[in-house]
Amino acid sequence: MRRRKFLKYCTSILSSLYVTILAVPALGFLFSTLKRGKQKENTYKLTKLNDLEAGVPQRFTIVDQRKDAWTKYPSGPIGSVWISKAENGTVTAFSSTCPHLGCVVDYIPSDEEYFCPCHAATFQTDGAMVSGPQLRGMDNLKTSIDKIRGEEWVVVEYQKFEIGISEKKSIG
Amino acid sequence: MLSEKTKQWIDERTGYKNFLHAIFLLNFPTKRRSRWQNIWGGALVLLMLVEIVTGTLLMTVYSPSEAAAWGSVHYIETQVDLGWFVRGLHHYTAHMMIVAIVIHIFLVIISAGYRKPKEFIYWTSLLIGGVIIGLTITGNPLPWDQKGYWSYQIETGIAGTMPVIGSSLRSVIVGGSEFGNLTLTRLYTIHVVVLPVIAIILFIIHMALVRRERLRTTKIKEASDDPDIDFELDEDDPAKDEITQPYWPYQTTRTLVLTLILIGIIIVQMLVYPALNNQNVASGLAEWEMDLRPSEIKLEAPAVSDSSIPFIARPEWFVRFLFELRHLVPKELEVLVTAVLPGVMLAILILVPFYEKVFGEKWGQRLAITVYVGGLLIISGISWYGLKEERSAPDYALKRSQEIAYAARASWLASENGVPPEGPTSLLRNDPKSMGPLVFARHCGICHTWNGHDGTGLYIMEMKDGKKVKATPSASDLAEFATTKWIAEFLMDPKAPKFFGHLGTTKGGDAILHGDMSDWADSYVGPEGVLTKADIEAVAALIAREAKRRDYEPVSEAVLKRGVSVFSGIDFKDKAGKVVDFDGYCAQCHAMKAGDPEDEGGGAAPDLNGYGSEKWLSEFIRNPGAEKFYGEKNVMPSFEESKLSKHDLHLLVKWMRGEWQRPTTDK
Repeated sequence: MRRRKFLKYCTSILSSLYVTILAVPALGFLFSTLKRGKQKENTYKLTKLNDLEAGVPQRFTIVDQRKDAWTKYPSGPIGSVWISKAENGTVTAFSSTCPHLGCVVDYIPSDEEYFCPCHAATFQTDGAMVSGPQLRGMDNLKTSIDKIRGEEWVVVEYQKFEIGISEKKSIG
Repeated sequence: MLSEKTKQWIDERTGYKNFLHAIFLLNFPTKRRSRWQNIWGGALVLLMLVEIVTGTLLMTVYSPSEAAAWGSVHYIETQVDLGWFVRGLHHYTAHMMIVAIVIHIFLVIISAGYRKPKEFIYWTSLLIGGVIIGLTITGNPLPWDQKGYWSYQIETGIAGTMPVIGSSLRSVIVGGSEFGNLTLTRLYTIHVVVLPVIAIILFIIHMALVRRERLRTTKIKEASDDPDIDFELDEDDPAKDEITQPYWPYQTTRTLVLTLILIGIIIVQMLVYPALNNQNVASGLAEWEMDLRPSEIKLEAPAVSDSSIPFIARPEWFVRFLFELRHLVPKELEVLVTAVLPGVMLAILILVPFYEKVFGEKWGQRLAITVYVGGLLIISGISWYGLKEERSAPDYALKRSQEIAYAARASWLASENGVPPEGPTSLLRNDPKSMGPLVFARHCGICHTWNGHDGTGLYIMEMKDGKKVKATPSASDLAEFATTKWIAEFLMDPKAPKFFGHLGTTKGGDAILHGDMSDWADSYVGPEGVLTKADIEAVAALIAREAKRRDYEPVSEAVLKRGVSVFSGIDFKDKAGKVVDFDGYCAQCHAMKAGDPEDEGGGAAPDLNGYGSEKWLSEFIRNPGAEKFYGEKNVMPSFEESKLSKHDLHLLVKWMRGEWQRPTTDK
């Protein structure tokens, strides 16, 4: 029976080799596709400062090229931001993506509140939570003012963040 | 691992131990000497498992549509970790399975595995072999590359030639009369659902039959070995010299050894040939290699349905013999070869168990072996002959290397730019490097040459004294047109064969061949002429600057000044450096602001303002007989929009000027 034991030993060694040859590429294959969708933040010149009305948030569409796996799309909408100007001229921008589950947040002028229609998350104009199921306030985006030919333009650094968690964590 | 208690708990509720015993501890009766022979079936099962696993992985990325298929396979090859390995394993294992099944059936025949009561075991293995070939044929076109696309065109075309059902069969497979998205989705469905399900059903039947047969033999053997049972086997009973052993671990070890050897061969092949194999390339094709990355992956160029990008369809190696035989029979009989012959071959194999009915056991088996081995030898002979013929064809190396160049170019463009939403074909269709030579060959190559050939590397041939010889071009060679070198060479000798040399053969060409430009060169260039080589090079550099070619090498201010003096005749210095009158100045006939600022433009000869630039070339090609170009002397046909589309003209001009997307690291 020594021979039998030896052959059993051989079988397990050989079959683990067989499984390894399949499993290693399989895991590599499956997990590497997760790298997709990590986008670098980019800055977008969205509007002239003077065109913004103080205290009234306005939504702007972010237009950029998009690469989805193998397809490179020409310029098209990839997201949107809410931009508001305070009386003193400071500009704030929020990603319009709801930090709860990723719906697009609306602004209700009569309530002076941001409102997400999916699960009724509401936010103040400064982005802080009012009520609803969300775990954090609206995602603030970095803004700056660029002077181009004497006119001041609002430049927003657009990013996407993980949704559904209390921490603001950028994707990528 | 699970504890004994847990195993017990599960077993009481599932009976899995019994189930595993039934598979792996089944006593495996086998002749002592044939234990290494009966492992090919098991190896085929393990290879099929490799196909299922890798195929499922590929399904997670692959996308069956005209616009996405090639891009997704390119993505698998270049972006997904070990994607090339998974795809390569899937591809080569399929081919290895065909080899394995050929060997398996051979071993079955020499051990008379088709003999009563094993006929159905034999027949199911034949059918499984057929399904595996079907899987390979349907898998091959899925990347929708040139190779897969054109071979699938031929294969579905063959299906269409079948008597009676042909055309309906073809449209069912293709999803209409023409190739398109539906062809791919159907192909995909057949490849990943229909054929695998058929294969699995056949496999289950096959295994059930094998199991039944083994149990039967084991029982006979055990009965004859048991002294308590009064049963003896006949002396010549085949079961007599069999021993019984459980499948596990005796046969499993051997099967795994074989499987791993086969997979090893596959992996070695993948590592040795990671890219399209370009061993046949003719060296010296500088244009095709220039700025081209060699192919890095195993993927042909994306399918171009209007065949504007050349590709020669070649069949897979295992159907190559059918392809060759088609050439050997008259056209009307082609359907016999393509549709009837495979059926006949299958019938010959299926009827093997009945040979013995007619010829007796001994001669029946000998006939079966002869037919099988002989058939294989004939098929391999025909295939080998076909391959050899193809490889030795005069343009094979050139054409194959062009195909590989297109594949590499498309792959590089896809990596650089991504695949546009309309599909990968436009990567090549909008690329001057890819399309320029083809447009040149189609429209210009009849009269002009490009480094002697027609732009694509082919030579226009003509019959002369019953022999094929290179045709004499009737117009100038345009490679490096409007570079300093080209212009200088032209000025030195406009009548050279490379320039006006052969123009005399065309109608009205004499006027240019022996026209003012030739007279000018005769009078002013050469040993007696007043112009030195430096003068010629200076004026050539001045004119070449107009083209703004990317390969233009700027010259010093002094050289340009000298060029201006030749062009305008002002301040012209002779060989001794003395200012003299020069009446051979260019501005007499040619207009060019940079050479003679006071010139009003217009003249007897082509306007050189912007000579060789994109605008100049486009205008010239559209209308070479215009007043500012050759005027009445023109002999070149004009290429209006109806002859040469705007798109093609743009690609042609860009290509002639050497403008196309290049790797940024170069230069």
